Amino acid sequence: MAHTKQNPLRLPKNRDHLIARAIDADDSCISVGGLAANLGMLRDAGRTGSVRRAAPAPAAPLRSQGIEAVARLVQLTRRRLGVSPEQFAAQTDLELRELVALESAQAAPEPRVLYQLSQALEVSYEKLLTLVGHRQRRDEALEREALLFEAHSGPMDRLSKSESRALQDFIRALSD
Amino acid sequence: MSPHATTLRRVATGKQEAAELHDALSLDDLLDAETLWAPAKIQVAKAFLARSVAGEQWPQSLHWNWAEKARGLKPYAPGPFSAYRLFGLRAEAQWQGVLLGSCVAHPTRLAPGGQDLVYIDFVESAPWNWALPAIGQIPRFKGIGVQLVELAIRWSVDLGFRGRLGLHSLPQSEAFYRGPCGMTDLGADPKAHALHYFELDESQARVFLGED
Amino acid sequence: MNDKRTMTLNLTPAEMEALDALARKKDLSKTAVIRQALRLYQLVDIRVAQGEKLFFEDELQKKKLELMVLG
Repeated sequence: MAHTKQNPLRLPKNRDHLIARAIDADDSCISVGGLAANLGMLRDAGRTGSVRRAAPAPAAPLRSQGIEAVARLVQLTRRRLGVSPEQFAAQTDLELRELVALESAQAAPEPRVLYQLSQALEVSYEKLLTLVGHRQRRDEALEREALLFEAHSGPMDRLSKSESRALQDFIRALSD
Repeated sequence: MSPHATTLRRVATGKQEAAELHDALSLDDLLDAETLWAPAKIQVAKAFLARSVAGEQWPQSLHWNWAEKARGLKPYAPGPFSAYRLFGLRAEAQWQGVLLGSCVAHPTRLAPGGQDLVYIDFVESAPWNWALPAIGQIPRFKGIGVQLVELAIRWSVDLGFRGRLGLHSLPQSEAFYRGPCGMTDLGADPKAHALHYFELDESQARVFLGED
Repeated sequence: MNDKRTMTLNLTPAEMEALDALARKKDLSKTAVIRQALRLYQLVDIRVAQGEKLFFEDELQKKKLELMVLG
C-alpha cells in the first residue's frame, strides 16, 4: 500500500490549555463504530438488535439472553474441566479469538463456532442455533431452561453444587 | 509524516512525558499499530476470562480483528485527494492511539443541514491505556483521546468545514464524546446498529480549541 | 509540501454559477468545492476499480439505481 504525503496541519505553538484538558479527561473508552460497521465487524445480536444490550426491542431480550446462556455454558464447562482458554480452544477446535468472542457474549456466535461447540460438548447444533437467534423458530422450553441456567450460575472459580447441577440440566436440555 | 511535539500524562507517576502527534499516517502504520496492540488485547481477554467477568463489562472493540479485514481497508488509503486521513499519537516509540477520519459524503445532520463535516470512522487507544477496574488495570497514559479529536477538528478547519465533526460512538465511549469533547448526542441511529450519532458544530469546535 | 502550484480553470458562465451555488450551499470556497469533487471522484474510481458498484437508493420507494461510472 503506497503512501503519498498529505499537507501537514498547522498547530498553534502553544497548546498548553488543550494538553491540560486532554490529560485530565477520562479518555479510557474512545472507540467508535463507523469503520467496523462498514467492514462488517459489528455483528448485531439480532436483525433489530444493537451493540448495547440495555433497553432492547421486545424480540431482542430472548436472543441476547440466549447468547449470554451460551457464553455462560462455555465458561462453566471450561471451569469444570479446569483448563486454560488456550487448552479449551484447542480441544474444541476453535481459535482463541473465537473463544474470547464466544465468552464475551457481545454478539451471536457464527454457525461454524456453534457447530464446533456442539461437537465438543455433544449437544444439539440446531438448539444452539435457535438459542442465539440464527433460527426463526422459537423454542420456549429451551428459552426457559436458558433463563434458569443463567439464574443459577455465577462468576466463581470453582463450580458450586448448584452450578454443576444447573450446567448438567442445561446440557441435557440442549441434547437431542 | 509531520510530527508535532506534545505530552501525555503517565498515570503511575502523574508526570507529563514527551509524545508526538502525527497527522499523516499510512495504512501500514495503522496495521503496525494493530499488530502491536493485538497481543495486549489477548492478555486483556485472558484476564477477563480468568475472572469470568460478565460480557457487558468487556471493552466493546476487544474482538475486532483488523488483520482479517486488511483487504477491506484498501479504499481508505490516505493521499492528496483521498477522502481519508490517518492521525496518530506516539510515545515510547510506540503508537498510543490512532484516528481515521473521512471528509467526503458526510453532511451535517444539524440544522440547517448540508454542510460537510469530518466523520471519524475509527479511533482507538492502545489496550494498555484502557482503565479496566474489573481486572485491576490502570491506564499507562492519559491525554490521547482529546488530542486525537483535536487533530480531526484541525483537519476539518483546514478543509473549510469550520471544525465540524461527526461519529457513531460505541456505548462505552458515549460519556467521553458527550463530556470532554462537548459534542451533541443526536440519539440512536437505526441505520448504524443503533449506535448513538454525535456531532460537533462550529461553535462547539471553537470552544474545544479554546478559541471562544 | 507547503508549496502549491497554480492552475487556470476555464469554465462557462453557467458552470461558474453552478460552482458558486455549490460553494454557497456548502459554505466552502470554490477551491474547497473543487478539492471535494476530486476526492469524491477518486474515491469512486478506486472502489469501482476494485469491482464495487455505486448506487443511489430511494428508501421510500425501495428502489436502487446503479450509477454508471465510465473509465
